Amino acid sequence: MTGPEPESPPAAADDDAILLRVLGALRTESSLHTIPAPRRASCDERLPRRIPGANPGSHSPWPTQEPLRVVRDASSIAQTATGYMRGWRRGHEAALERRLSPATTAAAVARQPSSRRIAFRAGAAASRLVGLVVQVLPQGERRRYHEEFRAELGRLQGLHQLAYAIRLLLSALALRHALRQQRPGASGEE
Amino acid sequence: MPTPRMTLPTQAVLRTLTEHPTREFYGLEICAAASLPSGTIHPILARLESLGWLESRWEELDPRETGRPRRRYYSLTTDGAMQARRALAQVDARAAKLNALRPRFSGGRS
Repeated sequence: MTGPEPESPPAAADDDAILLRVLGALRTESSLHTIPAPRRASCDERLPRRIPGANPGSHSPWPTQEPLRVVRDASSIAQTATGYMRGWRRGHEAALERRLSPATTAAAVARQPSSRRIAFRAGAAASRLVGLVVQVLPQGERRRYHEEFRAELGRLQGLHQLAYAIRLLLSALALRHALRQQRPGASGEE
Repeated sequence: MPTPRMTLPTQAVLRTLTEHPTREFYGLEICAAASLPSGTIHPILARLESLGWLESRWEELDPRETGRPRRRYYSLTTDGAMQARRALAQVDARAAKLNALRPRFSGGRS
């Protein structure tokens, strides 16, 4: 039985002809809708010159920011970095907080007036003792020695004032004896 | 001119003053320089002043302006400086003689 033979696949020459036709059609189409050629980037223009310290100049993103002063204070660094590398910083801070806690501060403040009170009382007692010592001295010498003793008392603080006044009291009779032997007319009164 | 009793505090005061014959000291300064307790030297100063070895004057300031009393400054008189040196030299000579008489106690030759 002989029937019609199936169509044989096109030959290679036919394929080329089809391809050429397609390319020709595409070329024609592209010539109708011309795609603008990409603009060529030019390197002919010179780049702005970079000036260290001046750039970015007025285009700075933080034009109003003040330059920060770099402070390298060893003691302040040590305060905040004590034991930092060993993870003790929190402990250090906690210790500081405990040391500066209101209870501790209140105790210190409570102690301070006490010492001031003692110093004040010692000074007042010393002044009274000096007044007593002066009363032991001859009448004509009292004013001079009262001022002299008070001037020296003013140079001392707290209990030292009291010690000074007690020593004056202990030597008051010797001073009176010495002043009674003084030459006539040698008084310190002005 | 009479000589005061040359007690150890008197010697200390005189030595301090003769070391700085032109300088003026007030009481606490003399105590500090002579290593004597404060408040113990006023009888000595009064005695030396009565003998004419010392002279004293008030500090030149107005207590009302400064808010503190004036200090009394003491210094050796010219005659007092000579007398003080002589008296101290006698005391030193006497001490040297005593040390010579007591060599064992003074650390000298036996």
